[in-house]
Amino acid sequence: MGLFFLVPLGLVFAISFASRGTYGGIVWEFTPANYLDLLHPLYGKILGQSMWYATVTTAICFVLGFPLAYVIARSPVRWQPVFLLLVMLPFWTNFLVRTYAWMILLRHDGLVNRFVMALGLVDAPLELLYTPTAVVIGLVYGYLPFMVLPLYVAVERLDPLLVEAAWDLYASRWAVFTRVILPLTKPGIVGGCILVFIPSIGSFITPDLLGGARSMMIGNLIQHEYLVVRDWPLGSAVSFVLMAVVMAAVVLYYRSASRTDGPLEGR
Amino acid sequence: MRRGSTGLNVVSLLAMLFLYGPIIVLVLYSFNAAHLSMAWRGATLKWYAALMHDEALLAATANSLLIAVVSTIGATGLGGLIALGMERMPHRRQQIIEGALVLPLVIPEVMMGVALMLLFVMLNMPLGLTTVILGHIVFNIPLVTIMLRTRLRKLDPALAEAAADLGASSWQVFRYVTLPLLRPALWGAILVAFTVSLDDFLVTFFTAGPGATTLPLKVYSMIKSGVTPEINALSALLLVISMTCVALSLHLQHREVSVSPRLQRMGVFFFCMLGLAGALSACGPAFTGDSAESRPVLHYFTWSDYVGPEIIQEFERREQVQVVIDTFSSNEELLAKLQSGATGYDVAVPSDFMVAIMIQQGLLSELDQQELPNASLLEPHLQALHFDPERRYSVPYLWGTVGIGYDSAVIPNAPDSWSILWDPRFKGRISMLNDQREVFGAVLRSMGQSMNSTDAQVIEAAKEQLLRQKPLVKTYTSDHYDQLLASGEVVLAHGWGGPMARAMAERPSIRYVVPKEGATLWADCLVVLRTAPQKRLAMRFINFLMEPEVAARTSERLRFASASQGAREQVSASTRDNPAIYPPVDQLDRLEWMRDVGRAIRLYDRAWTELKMQ
Amino acid sequence: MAVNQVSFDVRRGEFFSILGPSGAGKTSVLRMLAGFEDPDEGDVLIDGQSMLGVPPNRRPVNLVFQSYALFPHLTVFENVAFGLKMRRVPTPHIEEQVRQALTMVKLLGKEARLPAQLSGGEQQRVALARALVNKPAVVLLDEPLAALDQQLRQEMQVELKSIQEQAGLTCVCVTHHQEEAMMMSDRIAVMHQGRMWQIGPPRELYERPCNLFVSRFLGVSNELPGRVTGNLGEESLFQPADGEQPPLLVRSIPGEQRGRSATLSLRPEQLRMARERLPTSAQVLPGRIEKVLFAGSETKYLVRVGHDRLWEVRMTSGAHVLPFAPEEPVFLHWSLSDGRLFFE
Repeated sequence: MGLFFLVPLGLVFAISFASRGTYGGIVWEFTPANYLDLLHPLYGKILGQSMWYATVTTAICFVLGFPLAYVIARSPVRWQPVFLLLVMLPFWTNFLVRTYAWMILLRHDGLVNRFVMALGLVDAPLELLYTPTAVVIGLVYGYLPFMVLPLYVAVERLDPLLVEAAWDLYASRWAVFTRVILPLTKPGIVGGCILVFIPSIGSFITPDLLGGARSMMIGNLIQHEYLVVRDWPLGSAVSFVLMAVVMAAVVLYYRSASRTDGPLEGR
Repeated sequence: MRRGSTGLNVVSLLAMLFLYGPIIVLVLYSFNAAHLSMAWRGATLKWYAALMHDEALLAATANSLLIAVVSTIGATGLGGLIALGMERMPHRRQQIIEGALVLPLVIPEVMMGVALMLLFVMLNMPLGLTTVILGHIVFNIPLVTIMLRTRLRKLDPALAEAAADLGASSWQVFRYVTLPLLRPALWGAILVAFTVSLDDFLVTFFTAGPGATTLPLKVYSMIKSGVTPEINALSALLLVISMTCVALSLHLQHREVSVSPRLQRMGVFFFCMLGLAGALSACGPAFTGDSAESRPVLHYFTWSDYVGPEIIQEFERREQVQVVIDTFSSNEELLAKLQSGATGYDVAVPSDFMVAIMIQQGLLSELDQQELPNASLLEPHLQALHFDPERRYSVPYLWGTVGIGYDSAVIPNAPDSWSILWDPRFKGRISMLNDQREVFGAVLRSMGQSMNSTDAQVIEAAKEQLLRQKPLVKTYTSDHYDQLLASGEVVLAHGWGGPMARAMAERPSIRYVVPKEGATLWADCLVVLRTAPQKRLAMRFINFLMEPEVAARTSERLRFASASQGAREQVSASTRDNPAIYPPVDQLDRLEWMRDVGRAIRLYDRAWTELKMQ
Repeated sequence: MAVNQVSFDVRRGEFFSILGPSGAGKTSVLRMLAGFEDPDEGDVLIDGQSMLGVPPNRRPVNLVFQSYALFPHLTVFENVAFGLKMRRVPTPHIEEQVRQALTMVKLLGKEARLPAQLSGGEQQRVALARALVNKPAVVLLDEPLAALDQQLRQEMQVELKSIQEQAGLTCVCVTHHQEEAMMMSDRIAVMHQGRMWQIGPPRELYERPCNLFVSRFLGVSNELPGRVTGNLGEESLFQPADGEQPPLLVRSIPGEQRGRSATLSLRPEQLRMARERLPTSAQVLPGRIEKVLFAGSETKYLVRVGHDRLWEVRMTSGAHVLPFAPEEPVFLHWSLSDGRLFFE
């Protein structure tokens, strides 16, 4: 098993220190040049922008996903699997196709524009497609289920009596949420955020299709290096940087999850 | 309902609407009679009918099913063994393995694909169905193991002891206690593995070889060659199928203990049938139908929008052979596949500059001119191309130009210069190719430079031009500008002629022009690979494709000009006179071939990245 | 090491309990009998056959788990039939035997239920039936009644005992509940810190515990530390450590005991409490009532003896026309034969 996971990764790591041949391919001379190239502010900017997109996506997923998870977890037990299924179902459709569905919706003459114009909210069609907004919408759409599932598990484990106890002890709704629900569901929240963050930061189809390829995320860069320029060494180096960022996020997750484990596990 | 949940309910409802809106639209549009545009032109089932007759699609479906079933079984078996084995390990070892299991889930998928491909190449395994299946098993193992472990850890160890105490051997304990208790999780894992495998694009992309095109690869190439409502129909079908599958398995899973064995056996049966169906159709007529003596198989590796099924069928009938088609969507992809050791392809269709690279890399086989009488009847200007002047390795097949497609209803005065793409009046209504060489090529020509410039200063100046243009550009796309033009989303599109001709068919006011400063001239060529198993058949295939009558039909269907001189006489006048399809001969002197720029590619690359990030 | 130097015999048809506080090593002993653990030294013999190296599934013993460990995916019938099926007993025989077992535990008619659909008591019966249907040489019971509530527990004690007697089962039961052990067992082994301290019938253990631990574990032990100061033949003189008390008479134990420190122990029901010193008895201690705890048929009195000892006395409620009240000075009497000395 180790052979299948670690050997390939080792290969990629080795390649990240090689250089590109004239016609693509790999020239096996050890050089840190690929990593040095990545010091160019351009790549910092790409990484920063990817993280920004991923963060916004994660935040929106949370705002949408938490109420959904809460309502599902508090619905009759018999219905919960059905609701969860409904949340998961769009996920079983091909990702490309789902992204295309959003293109249909967001176009100039798309259904969203027709709808808001029919309502009289705007008189000229909005520019929706090929904007950062479209990218975020696409990412949220793609990864919302990843947020809902762990949140559902966390909320489901949360004793409703605790919420009522807090309410009884004069906490406002907001206070109940921030002082009781949030801390107690933290492992689920962090888990959901990680699950959304990781694929968001590495995504490449969504920025290409919904963002109109006007901008690049780190996933596009990797794709570009591997498939278009065939600069595998540089692509490998970028991949490793991305992997480091993701790993850091995961370590952070385990840290904060283990900190809150005590009181919850005790139940 | 509990007090105070109205707000929550509203948000949840919105979230659900958000999740389902696009899906519903998708299904609805699969019944739309219109081809490219979004306007509703009445309900039809024709896309579903077309789906049923698309052999390539059916073959891809069969492959997908076969791969999904086999890799699911493999991953579930191995993952199950690992999960069970881990139970007996010391805690520390368990943690290490768990860490290793999480790794494939957090690394970017592209990297996983490349890493696996490199591994297979290193192990000297020819890329094909086997490698795809292995790849899928690899990424499914962690999923399966993690799901089973969650369940195993919840199991009371006393249950296994009780069974042993009651006389069960360790096998019986597993068979009668552990396995049944694990079953819900097992079904869940099978389902997830199956779906992930069915949906995987990237790992498949890198590990696939001849005859291993899967549904996602097919969908991807269909999208590359212009979205057709067939895809909507396909998605709607897939959605219904997966809905049924998921509902069924969820039903099984949540009954927890009292699942009727009959239902389970049905599940297993259904699952096996899927695999068998996949296997049978993937292996083609070798197992079904008439063929007692198996027919020779020709592997044709071509562009995603370069196949006319009826033409292929005609060759199959004529030669009593089977043609398996795999597609790529860029020259780089083709090269990457071949360089990484994919063998088994016979005929491929690289573009001009890629033929040059492939000759240098020794990937091509010399052609046998005796076998190719039709290949000598070429358009005059294609007879001796710079990369292979004696046509020892390649035969030009289809050719054309890159230019500007525009909507004459909006721009009545025909533009004749690239500068129209810098006209602020069309801000937000311009699309450019998502291809660094073509985009830079257009600018370089407009600056009076060669599009193959390797001068850093010239490239830098071109980049400045493009940065100025960027606010006007709606999107960079190489795939669906025909659709954007046809729907009126953009009025100016930089792109290849063929898709422009497609857009014209949808929206008659679309026109195509090759700017006076000059543009790309390209030719895709038929080549026989050095590793081709069926070289003689490959020659006959090329000769067949170059038959004037066949070439003419190809040209009509694909809306690209054929290199065959005889074809020009046989195509309809509308095709011949369409500048998007047949470039007028007087344009030829201002066209330029794209060439490999060697190490200067990094200059283009950096400039392109900067352009995107501005 | 959980268990050290443990040796005992169980007779055929006997109900044998291993009693001890949690962590005493009882469960380890049981698991060795069942075959889940192997002793580092020594052997387990069943019907004279060594069980060393015999896996659980080949041993003629069956275990009733503390958590019952009923298979949640199998019905009551399938659970009970499991062992027979593993041994490939022909189907008609299985039906017959399962029916018999279920009749014995009064669960006939619930064959098709799943464990989750049964009450705690019913689950317990299924676990029992699942073990005894195999007619094992020994039925092992691991805290069989611990998960039941008080009422059910008492009912099941009686029922379990009668099933055992009726079927002539040989049972080894592990429990930390002394009353339960005494009520059901033919013999009890008291375990503590991995060792067996005393093995014998319940009455013997209760009345003649071999040490203070056994004494305390099997019931309330009212204790008074002191020193043996003289030997009067049949009786000895015991001087309480408090000092102010005159020496008490205790029955002599063979051997020279003079000068040795010892603890006198008395059961609550062995004490008689009176408002005045009875002239007939030399075994008497003065005290003061600290608390009166009325418990229905019985009343418990906590009596302060000496400076810092609280003794428990139990008396039938209503036996006194004038009930004792807190703070009342009293005298506690006992007969010579009841007081037991434990040397350190």
